Amino acid sequence: MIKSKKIISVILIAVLLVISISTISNASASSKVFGNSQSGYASDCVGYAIYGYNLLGYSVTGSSGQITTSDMLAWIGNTGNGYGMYVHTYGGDGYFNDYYGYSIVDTDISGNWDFVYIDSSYSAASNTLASAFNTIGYTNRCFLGWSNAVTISNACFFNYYLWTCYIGNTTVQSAAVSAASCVPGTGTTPIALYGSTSYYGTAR
Amino acid sequence: MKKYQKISILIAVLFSLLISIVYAATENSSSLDEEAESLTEAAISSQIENILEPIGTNSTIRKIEAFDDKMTDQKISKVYTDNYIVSLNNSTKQLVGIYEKEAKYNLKTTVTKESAREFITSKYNEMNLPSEYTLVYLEKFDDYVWEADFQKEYNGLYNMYEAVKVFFNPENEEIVALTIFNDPYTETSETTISSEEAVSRAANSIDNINSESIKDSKLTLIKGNSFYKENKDKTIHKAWVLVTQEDDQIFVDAASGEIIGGDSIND
Repeated sequence: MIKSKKIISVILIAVLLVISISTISNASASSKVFGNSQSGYASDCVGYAIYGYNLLGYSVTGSSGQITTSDMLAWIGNTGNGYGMYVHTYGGDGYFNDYYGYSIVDTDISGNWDFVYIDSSYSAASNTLASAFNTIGYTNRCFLGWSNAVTISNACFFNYYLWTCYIGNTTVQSAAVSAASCVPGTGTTPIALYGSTSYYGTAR
Repeated sequence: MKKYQKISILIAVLFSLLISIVYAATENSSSLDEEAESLTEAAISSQIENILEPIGTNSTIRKIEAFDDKMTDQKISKVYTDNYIVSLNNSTKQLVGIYEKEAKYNLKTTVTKESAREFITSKYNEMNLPSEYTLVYLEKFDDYVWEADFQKEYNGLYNMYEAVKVFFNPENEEIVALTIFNDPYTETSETTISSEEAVSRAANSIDNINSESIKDSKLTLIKGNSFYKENKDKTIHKAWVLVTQEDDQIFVDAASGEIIGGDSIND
């Protein structure tokens, strides 16, 4: 009797181990979101992006405040399961800034990324950042950014609809245009996508 | 109690906990969806057909989801068809927007602006959208899609919150996204503040602003915000939008002279 109970215990523990190992080996891709608090909308935008990446199946963490280049470069240089990144900040064509105004440029960026969105004016004025994140030329990768200047309130409005209403239900391309249409005003949301127009943004 | 018994109890407790959490999450989500469905499905079938028929796509309803739109304070039903998400206002049953699930993005648009105008005005009329709105903006959005904005006019000023904003590809005859804004301008107070006075009010209220800081001003219908100070008023005001040399914006109420909001470019 005691022997059979021991066998049952061993089997239960083995099952638990198998479940744990399979969970770890199938861990979803990770994503990190950053918000530069010099924008009054940083915490809102970070919250929306966390919600959206979660919907897409990413394991996501967020940071809003005095973000630094070293914080962001640590994530960009991750050797783990990090495939997603969102940054609400200031910047321009080919670079984006931290809280203190220091820039991350294309040559600082490496790795293979699935879904990156740099939420600063002109971040997608050219394909410089999209190429740096290696998001162009694949069926399941894309880069979102702004092709022109955007105001922080219009960006925040757009982000609300993108992350909480459309992402996961449509392609990223369609989600972006749908969210753009929800922002009042003419020419207020010059969003641009590089990479796959059929990708839903789902975590690998 | 033996060690294996303790382990068995621990495993049972953990599994119970996990099952409870999963069940609670599923229950919450499905009850929300059921609420949206019971509220709207019977009422919307024919409406969906009327909306989607002019753009040549089927209107079979696949699912309905509730969405609490915190930006416009509307309770929305998102109705999924094969190709589109159709948003309807739960209270009024009015159309809020249509959004393509998989925009084609396969044909670059090469048509002239005139051809784009002909296409979108024709489609606008077919869809029975508000006839009193004026086409105020028509530009290429990107290589594939155009943006057109129809807005209601109030004595020479256009209300962007009472408008139709549409993104389309004329080559594919494709409506990619269309949103109807339905927030009328109801303010009755007279414009008593001139542009110069608005600049002066801004200079008195905001640090580092003087008449030389402002490079442009425009009388606009706009909602305030908390950019400069806490402002929960969501109504539309006639206001001067002052643009600084750094491209920041200051909204000055054209009747009271109060600073009601602002904005800045994130570059």
